[in-house]
Formats: sequence, C-alpha cells, structure tokens
Amino acid sequence: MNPHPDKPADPRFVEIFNLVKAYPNPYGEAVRVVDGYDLVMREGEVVSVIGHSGCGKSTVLTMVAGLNEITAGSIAVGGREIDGPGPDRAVVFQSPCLLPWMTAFQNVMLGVDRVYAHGTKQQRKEIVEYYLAAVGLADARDKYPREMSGGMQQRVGIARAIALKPRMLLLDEPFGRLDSLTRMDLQDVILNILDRERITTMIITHDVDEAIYMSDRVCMMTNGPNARVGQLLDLPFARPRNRAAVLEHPLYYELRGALVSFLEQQDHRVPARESAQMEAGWDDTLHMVEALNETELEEEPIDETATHTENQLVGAGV
Amino acid sequence: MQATVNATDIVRAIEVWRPQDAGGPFALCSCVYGDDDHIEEGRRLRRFELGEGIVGQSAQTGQPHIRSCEDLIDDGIDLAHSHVVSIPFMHSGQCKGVVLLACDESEGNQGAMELWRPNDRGELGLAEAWHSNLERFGLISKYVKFPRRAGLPGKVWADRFPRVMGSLGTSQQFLRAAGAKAEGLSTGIGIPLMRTAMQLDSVLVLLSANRTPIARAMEVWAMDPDSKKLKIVSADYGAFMDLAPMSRQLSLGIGEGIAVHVLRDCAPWATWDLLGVEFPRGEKFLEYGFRWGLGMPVFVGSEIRAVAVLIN
Ligand SMILES: Nc1ncnc2c1ncn2[C@@H]1O[C@H](COP(=O)(O)OP(=O)(O)OP(=O)(O)O)[C@@H](O)[C@H]1O
Ligand SMILES: [Mg+2]
Repeated sequence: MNPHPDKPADPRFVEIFNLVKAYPNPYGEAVRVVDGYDLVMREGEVVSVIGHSGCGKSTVLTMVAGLNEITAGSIAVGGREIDGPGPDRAVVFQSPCLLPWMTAFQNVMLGVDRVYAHGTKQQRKEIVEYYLAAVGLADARDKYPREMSGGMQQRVGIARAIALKPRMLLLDEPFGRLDSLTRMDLQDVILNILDRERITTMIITHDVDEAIYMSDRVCMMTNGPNARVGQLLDLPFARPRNRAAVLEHPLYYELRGALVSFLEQQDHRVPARESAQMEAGWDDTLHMVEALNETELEEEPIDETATHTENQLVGAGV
Repeated sequence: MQATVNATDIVRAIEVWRPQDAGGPFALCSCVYGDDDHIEEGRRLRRFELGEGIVGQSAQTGQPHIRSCEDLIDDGIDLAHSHVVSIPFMHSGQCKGVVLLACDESEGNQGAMELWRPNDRGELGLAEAWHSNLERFGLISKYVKFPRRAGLPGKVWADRFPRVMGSLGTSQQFLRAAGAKAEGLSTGIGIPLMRTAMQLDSVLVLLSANRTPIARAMEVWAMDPDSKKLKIVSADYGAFMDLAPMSRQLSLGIGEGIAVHVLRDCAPWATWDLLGVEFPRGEKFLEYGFRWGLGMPVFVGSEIRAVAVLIN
C-alpha cells in the first residue's frame, strides 16, 4: 500500500518556518499566541506535539490544516506553500463530527465520493470498505452514529480522514475523550495504518506515554503567549511499534522523564530559588543584541579603512 | 562566602595556540596547567602546521572538536582520564588562535563540553560531546534537538552572541533543566562559532557543576554602544554572589582586564595573573582561591562581537 515505494523520503516534506499567530486584542496590542514556531518534518514521520493547555497547539495545527490564517511565517507541505485547506491534508479532531443521519459507511463515502470522483461506484465502495475494515468497523458499516460508542465514532472519523489519501494527517487530541483501553486500541489502529501508508502525521496529545508510543519525535512547546518549539526529542524505537518493547526499552523512563520534566519546568511560574540566585548573575543579552543589531544596521556601508583595524576598540584609539 | 581551591581541578590544562605568521605554524602563547605543569616546557617547543594535529585541524577547517586525550598522544597531550575540546577562533576566514581545554573525568568530576551543530533540517543536534559523570544527562542530550531560538544553543545561534546561564537546575530557559538539577549542573555558557558572518559552524556549550566547576565565574563582555567601553552582558558567579554587583558595575577601558586584552589582541588569552590583570576584582578572586582566567573572542565575520571569560 506504500504509495511511493521507490521514492526516498523527502527530509523536508513539511517545513514550518517562523510561524506567528496573533489574535486581535480589543484592549491593546494584538497578542502573539504563537511566535516563531519552527518545525521540519521528514516524509512519513510521526511527530507529536505536547505543551500545556492553551499554549497554542491547536492554533499551530489548524494553521497547518489551512483552517486558520497565518499572521506571519510560512508553512510548506510537499514543497508547496499552503494556501487554505486542501485534499493533501486531513484533520481529525477530538470529536469526529459525523453526520447523524448517515451510517458509518455513508459518512466515509461522503469524502471518497469527492476525492475519487473519477472512480467507478464499485471502486469507491471497496475503498470505503477497506478503510472501515482497517479501523475495525467491518461489521458496523451500517450503524448510525447514535448506535456507536465514542470510540467507534472516532474510528469512523479516522477512516474518513485516511480514505481521502492525504499526504499529511493532522490529529488534534484524537483520543482525548476516550477511556484508556479504547485509547490504546485506537493508537494501534492508527499506527497500523501509518505503517502501511506513509502518511506524515502531526498528533497533538496531553499524554506523554501516548506521545512516546505513537511518534518518531516529540515536539515540546513552550508556554504561551509567544509559544514556540522549546525542544525536540528523537525517539529511538523501531517501527512497527510493539507496546511491550517500547515499555521495556532501557531508555523509556529516561525519555519519559525528559518530557514530564519539560512540562513541569514550563509550569513553574515564579521560581523562588531562581530569583534568589539571580543575585549571583544576570542576563542582559537581549538588550545588547538589539543594540548591536541596530548599530550594525546603521553602519552597514562599511568604511574601507575600518576593515583594516582589527576591531572597534583599537579603531577607537583605545 | 568561604571557598577553597579544589585539590583536583576538573580543568587540567588550558592552552592558547596562535599562528606565528598569518596562517603559519601555531605556537603555544599562553597556558594554564593544574598539576600537570611539567608538560609546559615541551609544549612551548611544539609547533603545529595548518592541518597538523587537533590544533592544526581546527585551525584549518574552523571546526571545533572534542577528543579523548588517549587519541591525542601524537599531539603530545599526555593526560590520563581526560578529554580535550579544541576551539578555533576564525576572524574573516583566518584562524586567530586555537584554545585547547582539557578536563579530567576521574570519578566525582562532573562537567560537560558539548558541540551543537545544525543538521539537515536546520536544527541543532549534539555533534560531539563530553559528559563527565553525567551519564543520564549525556544520554538524553543525544536525543534532543533545538530549532533556532530554542534552548541555550538555539538562542546563542539566533543571537550570534554568547550567553551565560545560571541556576540551570531551576531555569525555565534551560530546557534540559530536570537533568541538570538531578546531576548538580549549575552554570552554563554557550558560545557561537561562526563559519562566516551569517553561517554557524557550531555552538560550544560548557556546563559547570557546583562541586567541580569548570569555571566558577563565567562572563560575557561586549562593547556598550553608548560609552564605547566594555561591560558584562551576562554572567554568573554561582556561590560567589558578592562578585556579581561588583562586576556588574565594571566598565573597562585601556589596559584593564582579560576582556580588553582579548579585544586588543583579537585572540584568546589565558593567564595566571588575576591580581595583576583584573583590577579591582583581583584581590577578591585571590581571596576566593580563583587562580586563572581564560578570555575568548567571539567573532562574527570580521567583527568581534563579544568576549567570553572563564575564571576559576
Ligand atoms: N479566535 C481566537 N481569538 C482569540 N484568542 C484565541 C482564539 N483562539 C484561540 N485563542 C487563544 O490562543 C491560545 C492558544 O489556544 P489553542 O487552542 O491553540 O491552545 P491549545 O494548546 O490547543 O490548548 P488545549 O491543550 O487546551 O487544547 C489560547 O490562549 C486561546 O485563548
Ligand atoms: Mg487544543
């Protein structure tokens, strides 16, 4: 099922550069919720995004989906800068938003009809059945949303997204409303599909274990406003994932600890100890760099003689 | 605050190699040795051509490296249980000097030297590193990547300006804080090593632990655009808090301090003479058992943007 078996993975399939989102603020200057977010994703890679509630994870994801306007910066998928939503990107939110008067089959068919308009009716039916089976709903194809549990509904949502053959999958806390057993089932459902079809995936989660189990790297966001990528953590686990093997990996607890402590660190507001120790040091780098950049701009047309003096101090006669 | 000199310093040697002529053989110009001062005489006679040994290689390529001393026998660095970082100082494409900093990894000595280099995705990853008795911290650091502006390395890269960070264990700015806290790391300095004015080769990060500091004082000096004198932009003195207010007021002119010396020579410099050089702080340094200073220029293209100073 690999759509491009021979093509090597594009190392910069998704490029998010200096992304900014400012929301207007009726009481003053616009608030930059996200400010300078950078992320490069390899084709087929699964990246999870973690960060405290309200830091701007969904804001980033909806901008990548093309559903939320960008204030500044750029997002390119597959070498093309995005401009609004497109069939190359599919989104799954926490609640699947199924049409209540349609069966599981019909809900998935809705998108397939649009994307495979040129296919025969039989082909389209097979595609829908294939993806319903992939999410474990072969026997529930004729059920209506009200007849399905939350987990089953979310399976339909996932089948609907993946049946569109997107090149990128965007998952915003897709299991947020599910109990932990259902959650684990669905994690495996998605991983199985991703192992078969190389879909570059961004998944937002609040669950560090889920982040570790599902992804190739974890993107940790700093607290907002002005949220950005704090650091990235590469995960050394092989694919296809095996839950027991991941849990038993010698580094599992170290990596988990790194994620948890990053979140704790972001949480802790005015660190008393830090302010006490501030007396032992200080940091005016920001101001100095701004000042230097200003003088740099002023002095842009460099005087020929200046290049011969080794530095400003010597030049100033000191 | 009471303080005594560590009997076994984690820093075993600091050597500053500078070209005799432009590009010519590199000779030892200044140095600081712990208990290994017997090697000084031999080192003074040694010369390295461009490309020869770790000094010549770093000078030629402009790339810093971290090596075990066991692999540097031919270079004449005969120190057991130690690692060396070679730091080239490139000014408009020309090497103005190479600093070798050798640290001892015997049991109980904690500290880190790290080189963060951009990867094919434009993130900084750990390219070479020495983590002494910081096993877990070192292990996790291999898996960490920093985009531009993120973490100490990412900030130094974005600013093209060095930075000192104190209280690593509690700092929100230091993103590997939990590991730092668990392992007693206290202060860090990040120094950008630029290939050209715009292109970064790597960020050198030195991390100091409370018990066995690589440097008890870390400072970044730069020219104040208004007064045209050197001032400290970021610094940390750890337990030696009363050095902070005194240092913060300083503003250096002619012939004062390690930083001015480095700026004048446009080259790194190591000295034992804190009393003579660091007026008016020299006496305090001596009282606290500080013995040496190392000043390193931070070049961005043809410009010297700052001076990083380590004192211990
Ligand atoms: N339309 C809007 N107008 C103004 N502010 C908004 C708007 N949408 C979101 N925000 C603000 O932007 C910030 C980030 O919101 P976002 O939903 O992206 O956070 P999140 O990380 O997804 O949080 P959670 O984990 O709770 O889902 C929040 O402070 C939110 O209040
Ligand atoms: Mg959200």
